[in-house]
Amino acid sequence: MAEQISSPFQAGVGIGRPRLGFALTAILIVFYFGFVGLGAFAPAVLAKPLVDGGTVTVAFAYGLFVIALGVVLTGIYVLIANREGIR
Amino acid sequence: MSVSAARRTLIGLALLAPAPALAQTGGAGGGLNLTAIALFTTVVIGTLHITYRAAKRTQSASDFYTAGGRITGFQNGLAIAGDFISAGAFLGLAGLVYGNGFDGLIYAVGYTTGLPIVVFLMAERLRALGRFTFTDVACTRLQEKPVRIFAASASLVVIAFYLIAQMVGGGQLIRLLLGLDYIYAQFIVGILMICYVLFGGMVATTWVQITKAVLFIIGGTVIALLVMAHFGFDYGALLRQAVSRHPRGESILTPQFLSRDPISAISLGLALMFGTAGLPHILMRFFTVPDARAARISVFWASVWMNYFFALVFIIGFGALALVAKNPAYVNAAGGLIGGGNMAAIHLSHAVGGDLMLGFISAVAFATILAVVAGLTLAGATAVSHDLYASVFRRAGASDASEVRVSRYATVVLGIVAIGLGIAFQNQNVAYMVSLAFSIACSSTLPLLILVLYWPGLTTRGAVTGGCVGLGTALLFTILGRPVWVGVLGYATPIFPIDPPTIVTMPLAFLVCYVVSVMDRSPQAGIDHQRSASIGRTAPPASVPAE
Repeated sequence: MAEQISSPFQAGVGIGRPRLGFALTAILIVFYFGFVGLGAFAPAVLAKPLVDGGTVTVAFAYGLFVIALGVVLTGIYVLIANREGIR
Repeated sequence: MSVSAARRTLIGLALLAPAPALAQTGGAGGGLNLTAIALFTTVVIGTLHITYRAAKRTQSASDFYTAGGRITGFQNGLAIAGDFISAGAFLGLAGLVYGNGFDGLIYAVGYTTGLPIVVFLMAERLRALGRFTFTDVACTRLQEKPVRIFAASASLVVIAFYLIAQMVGGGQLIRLLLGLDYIYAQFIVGILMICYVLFGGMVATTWVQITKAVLFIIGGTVIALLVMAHFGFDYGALLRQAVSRHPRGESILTPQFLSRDPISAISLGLALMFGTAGLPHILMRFFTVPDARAARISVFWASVWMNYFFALVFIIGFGALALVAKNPAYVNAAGGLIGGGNMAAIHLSHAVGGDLMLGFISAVAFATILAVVAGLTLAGATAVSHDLYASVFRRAGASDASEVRVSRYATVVLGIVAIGLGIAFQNQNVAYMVSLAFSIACSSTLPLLILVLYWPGLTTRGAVTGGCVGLGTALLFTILGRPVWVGVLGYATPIFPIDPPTIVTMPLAFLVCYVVSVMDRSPQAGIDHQRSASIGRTAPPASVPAE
């Protein structure tokens, strides 16, 4: 049991990829809370139509963007982590 | 004034009680819908069959754990996605958009931010610790007994709120489809769920989740395509019709409640983003594939399918508004949705795909509810039998047999509790209930887990005090806030205004953990520091050399 706990850590390298993880988390937080914050403090921005005279508002585009961003950032993390794993 | 209003609400609630009878005449198009029921039964029996077969093939306990090793990253990704795409979330989200327009999509967007956070901040460290459950991770560093008691209690509370969401969704679905009274529908869901846990168990959930995720993604895609086809693939036209059907008109195209109550808005944002990382039954999913590479690939596929599904809600939610609202087949005389506010997506499936689609979507939704509820119940029963009974009250003396017996009792008790809660919360939106589970997880399990993984200074006393304060305040403010005080007890105005309370309780939990740990001079604190040092977590993340 002790072996199980200690071995990965004694390797001396950072566990996981904290810097990459924090950076990607920060990006997601900025854009997601940008969305929530605009809705809370500047709703007029989100209420604007995407195209002049159109029905689809900026809110839809931004919402979909955050959803896509989650996939993209996860993809970046997995790509980097797995490439390092091979090396 | 508020007292009389409260009394009126209570009377209103009492009057609602016989309302389920309406469902008998309503159905989704009138009378008992035999095609839909036949398809529904087929799919439900099919998934139960999968469970049974998988359970039979899996003889030993180790089979259960290594089963992950035999499935590919892609398949495991679907299983993780299946865990997230709970029917509660699906039905609830469509219902929220139906009732509130874009406000509902805030939840859909928020749900998708949870999984990346788990991947970025926790998955690798959890794997490195070689521990699979939240409780076991905390116990590698801290004193076992108090941590287990806290972890089990927190898990049970989170699970209870998550269960409510699924029970309400399942109950409304059965009531709508079979025309039964809501109370009976609750008992059917509860009893089926207990059977599912006792016979199939967790063993087969991976396969059921895969099957269900595929069916749900196909079903959702077909509905979305049919809705779009109805409007000549012009999303603007769909929205124009939705606007014309909603009493609030144009305003449904942009977030409304965020600007009305910015503090609650940010609080909700926090809960949705970080709640996932504190859900005990979700964290376990990251370890079903033994090698790290496959685990990461599976996480990527999970995020693809999950986010795709939540993006479909943009079409399905507004599609329900455009095609179901004001349609006499789906709306009762008072203008409310037949079967309750969570049934918008079900009615939509009938509106665009007839009885076949209705039966298919209902069946997949119901199978999902059973699978998720069974998983939750099992996690809860494990918390009781393994963490509380075996580890704490009986110490190491508890035999396997007695532990299993306790977990059986716990399953049955949890099933009964779930039925009761399902009845108490029957008029709540289920996506909203899920957000409450998230907010409590954010304030109790998440701070503890983050600190265990990243801060060597955490002591047992700090962790347990902070966790308990977070759990207690989150629970108290939820009861005094809108969800219970207004929604269940029927008072007019909540005592605690912020809903969910995350913005207060999550920082509070972190703060208490920190302050108590720093001031902790107990002998146990010394042991805790020693253990964290021997585990080797010495360098703060920022100074770690680039890998």
